[in-house]
Amino acid sequence: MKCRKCGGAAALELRRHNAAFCPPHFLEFFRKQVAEAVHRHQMFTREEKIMVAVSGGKDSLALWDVLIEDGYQTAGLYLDLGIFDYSKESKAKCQAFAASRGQTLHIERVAEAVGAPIPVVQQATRRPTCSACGLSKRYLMNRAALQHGYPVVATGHNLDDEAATLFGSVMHWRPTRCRGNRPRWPPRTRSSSAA
Amino acid sequence: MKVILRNPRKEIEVDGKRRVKDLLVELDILPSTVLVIRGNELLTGDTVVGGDDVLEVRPVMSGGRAGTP
Repeated sequence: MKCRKCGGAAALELRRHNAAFCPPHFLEFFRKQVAEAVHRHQMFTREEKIMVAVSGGKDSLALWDVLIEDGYQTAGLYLDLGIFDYSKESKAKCQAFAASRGQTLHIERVAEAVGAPIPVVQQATRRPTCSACGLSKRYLMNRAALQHGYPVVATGHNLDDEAATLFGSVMHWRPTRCRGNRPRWPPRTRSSSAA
Repeated sequence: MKVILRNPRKEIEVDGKRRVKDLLVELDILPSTVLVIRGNELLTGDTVVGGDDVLEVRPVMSGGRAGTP
């Protein structure tokens, strides 16, 4: 299989795009996809400070990397969920990433913000872990952005996340949530913010 | 060749040469759900593997590590 751009050996096949790329041209393609999406949906501008919510995983750190390389003003936000060694390892990855790129990383501890770490919240609420975690994180991300003066919060997802959300809405018969699975926000003006 | 599977971790020996996509069919793995890695190299489905190759079949996942509470 050959790279669509240079004809060299491909490392990744993207069936959705009917294309394959070598490593350098995949990165180029990926960065271009993000830049085009930001522009097409008027997500934010280079004048706005962006708080990138990072988990230490590939999706969020890739997003932060792309935004830094594209010249945006960014800082990271790591929410320490208090999930034992998993949270320690994740935080270390975020700190190492921020240090390697000379970026600020804000750290918020969920246990301090809501009174207990996620495993305890999950037991107390008897909600699925992802549900308890998701509710807390969304609130804390927005709060941290407002506290630190970032008008934009960016989160990294992939199509797995989108597909899981869509399937969940279908399986629980929530037709209103199946509509408009595209970026949505109020109309923006030059001075408006999108936190 | 040696094939290393994850979640659960398992190592298996596979004789002969075949394309990556054929190997995955034999292992009953959906190609779009994994990365196939040889050393530092990602392999596409048409790559022929065998002999002394050591392959890692790594599931692609998001939203946390498997086994995380």
